[in-house]
Amino acid sequence: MRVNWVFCLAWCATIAVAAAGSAQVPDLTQLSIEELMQVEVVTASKKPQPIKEVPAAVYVMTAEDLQRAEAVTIPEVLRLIPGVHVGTIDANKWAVAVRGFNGRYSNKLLVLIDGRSVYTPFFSGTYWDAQPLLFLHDVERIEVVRGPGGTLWGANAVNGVINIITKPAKETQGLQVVSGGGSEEQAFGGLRVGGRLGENGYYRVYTLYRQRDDLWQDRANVRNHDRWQIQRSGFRADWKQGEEETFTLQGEVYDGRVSQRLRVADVTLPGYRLIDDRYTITGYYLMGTWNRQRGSVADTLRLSFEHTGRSPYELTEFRSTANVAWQRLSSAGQHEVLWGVEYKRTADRTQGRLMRVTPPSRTDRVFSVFVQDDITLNSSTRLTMGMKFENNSYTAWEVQPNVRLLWKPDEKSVWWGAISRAIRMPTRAERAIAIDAYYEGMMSGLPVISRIHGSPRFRSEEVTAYEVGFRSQPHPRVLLDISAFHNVYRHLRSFEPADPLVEASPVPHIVVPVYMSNKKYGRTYGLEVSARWNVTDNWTLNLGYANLTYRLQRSPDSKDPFKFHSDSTSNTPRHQFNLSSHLHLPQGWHLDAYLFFVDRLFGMDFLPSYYRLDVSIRWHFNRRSSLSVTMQNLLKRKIREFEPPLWERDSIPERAVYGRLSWQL
Amino acid sequence: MVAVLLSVACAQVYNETEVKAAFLYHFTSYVEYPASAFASPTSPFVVGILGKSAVFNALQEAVRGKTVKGRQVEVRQVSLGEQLRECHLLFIPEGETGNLPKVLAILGATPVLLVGESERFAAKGGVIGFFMEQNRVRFEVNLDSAKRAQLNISAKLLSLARIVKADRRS
Repeated sequence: MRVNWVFCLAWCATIAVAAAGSAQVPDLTQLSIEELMQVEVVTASKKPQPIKEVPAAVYVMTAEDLQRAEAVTIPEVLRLIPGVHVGTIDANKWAVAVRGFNGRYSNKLLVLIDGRSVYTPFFSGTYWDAQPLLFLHDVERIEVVRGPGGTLWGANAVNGVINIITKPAKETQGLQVVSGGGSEEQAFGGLRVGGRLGENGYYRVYTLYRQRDDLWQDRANVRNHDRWQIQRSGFRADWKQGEEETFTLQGEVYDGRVSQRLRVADVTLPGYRLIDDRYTITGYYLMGTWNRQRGSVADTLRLSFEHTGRSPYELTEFRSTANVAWQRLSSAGQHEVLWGVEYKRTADRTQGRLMRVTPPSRTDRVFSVFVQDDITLNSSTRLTMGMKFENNSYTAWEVQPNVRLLWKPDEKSVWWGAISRAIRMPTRAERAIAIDAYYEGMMSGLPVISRIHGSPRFRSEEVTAYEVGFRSQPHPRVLLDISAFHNVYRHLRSFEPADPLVEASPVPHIVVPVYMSNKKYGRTYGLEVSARWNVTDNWTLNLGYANLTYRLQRSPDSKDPFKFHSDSTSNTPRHQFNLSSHLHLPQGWHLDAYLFFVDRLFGMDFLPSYYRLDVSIRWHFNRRSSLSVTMQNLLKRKIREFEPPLWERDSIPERAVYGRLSWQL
Repeated sequence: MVAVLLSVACAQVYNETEVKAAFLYHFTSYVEYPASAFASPTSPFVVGILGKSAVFNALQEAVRGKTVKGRQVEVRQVSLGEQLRECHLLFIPEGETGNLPKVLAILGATPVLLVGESERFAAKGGVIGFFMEQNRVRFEVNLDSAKRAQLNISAKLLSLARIVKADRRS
């Protein structure tokens, strides 16, 4: 740890020295006009983006926002987006959700990178430890859709979709180096090279590395066992054939070592046993995309193959997924019709110690067809209607329709409303898992544990969402986006205890089986506001606020004790806001500050509300390169952000500093 | 490694405003005005910035102590009205784009190099419009607008520009 502080100090010193050495600003008028055309500028975001004419609650993080985000993991970037709740669990685990139901195994948010789903059908969530930060320079934008996206994206886009879109290879030419490190972020780095492929093609290849030590402490002030190290390499190549067709081929391979401390119920003690686990994560994917734009018809065909493997103590899982999707967008008159078909096959092989899956291997298939018509009713009104039919191995056909209306009374404001239905199909875990989750104490001289079981009768969770929104540009420098929602859920997951039974091995003990069922229902409602104010040409303020209320109930025949939830209803804050300030100072200096407020959470423990302040200072020492120092958690030395499932031991993020160099040739 | 980095730390990143101001200064030397454009051989070269814009300060800074076509340069903040016709170069910032039709009506055939930064500014009647491409400032030129304003633009400037045509008006 001391070494890292030295490293940080060295970093700061470097910046200071370099800054002193560049006191004089060259006069731009001395450059020739040709030279002037080569000068890269930092756009001071003079104008807010035009108001988006999208009938949904969408937030787009642009390349410009990403360029100044000094975050070094994807969840830390998502934290900056209004309406997204991110809780750090330990050095390699996060809980990420929008519109509620957050948890380590949160399952109502779909995450896509270049259209490829990176969530696992095992629990419908994302293994964030296998997704180290991409090259932020190579990301074009991150779109976050709050609310159901089932019609376009299919089952599991229940409460939202996160879409990470990388730049075409043409825009990432040349050599780019990123490297850095600090007190918690031990070391991270990356290298990207981009070039041309013949007359009509471009490529980039890249490699990324990151390492975090067990720096964090758990609740008992003991150093946790949660180090994380991963390397990831990949490429992207784009070709253009004629004026109409483009091909993209991309792929990645990764390999990592992850540590965690588990707390496992053990009847032989009896009690809980701590296990320091260290496991491997590996994977690769290859994806090809073909696009053709002919007249008013655009076709896209996408093929992908992916393999992932991870071997934590609780469950070893290997999975191969193949996907083929085709869609066509055509416009004629008032109609813009998008329709497509998709087929996905995913096969897994598991072997568990804490979790057991029966049968241990399984192949699932999902086939879907969707159509969406965007109708321009008149110059100010658009109606969108869509429907998705999806067939999956568990629940056969599911229908996910939506209707959206957009009204643009003038150039400066947009109103929209939507009604949609989405489902979350059963996960592999909900059908087939068994976990010895809790040690409940002694009864009649025998230890008692509860064992959570998946159930073959587990069905899809459903939501019907009612949304309205308003976007406006009340002043040329102010952009405002407000949305409100009311979600009605049916068949939500509940945990139903059954009659206890006695097992003889390894020592005689009592097991209380708890079956996953669908006996909860209810509603959530809330309000989300985001605003951007370009106070001056060099100063921008962003504000985000999200409010959420739960009203969940269990059916009369349910005996759910409300204690087995990893996506407990109380794991999303009722209020959260973030305020960020981006100041563009003379001579290439930038000062960015982020203030977050997250309301208290009630899980098994009570987590008090907190404020968190992060500050970054960045200096662009030449046209394309920068040095920065980022300080996290300036207000408090330690903030416990999220509570993991009972069998995991969490860490408490501490105040941290890291430096970063980004250098482009 | 740090030493290597320091050695390249000589160049600088600029903000868009500074770069655009420098472009405005450069444009003046590639544009030929009719003799009628200047009242006397000693009258200054007037650059007008419509409304409020950071370009005003950046340009004042950039042209300090410099001359254009052997004339002193005067940078003015101007508002809609007859005074626009006194300018030789008029810059319309993003926020004032809505006033372009009025500006065109006031200027008529007056020899004023009309420069703007909004989307498709040149196609909408301006002479030169800035746009951004890969974080660099680029510009497009509408030759019909230049002709109407009796301005001759040098071939060198045109070779660096993207040439656009005016929007067809029905």
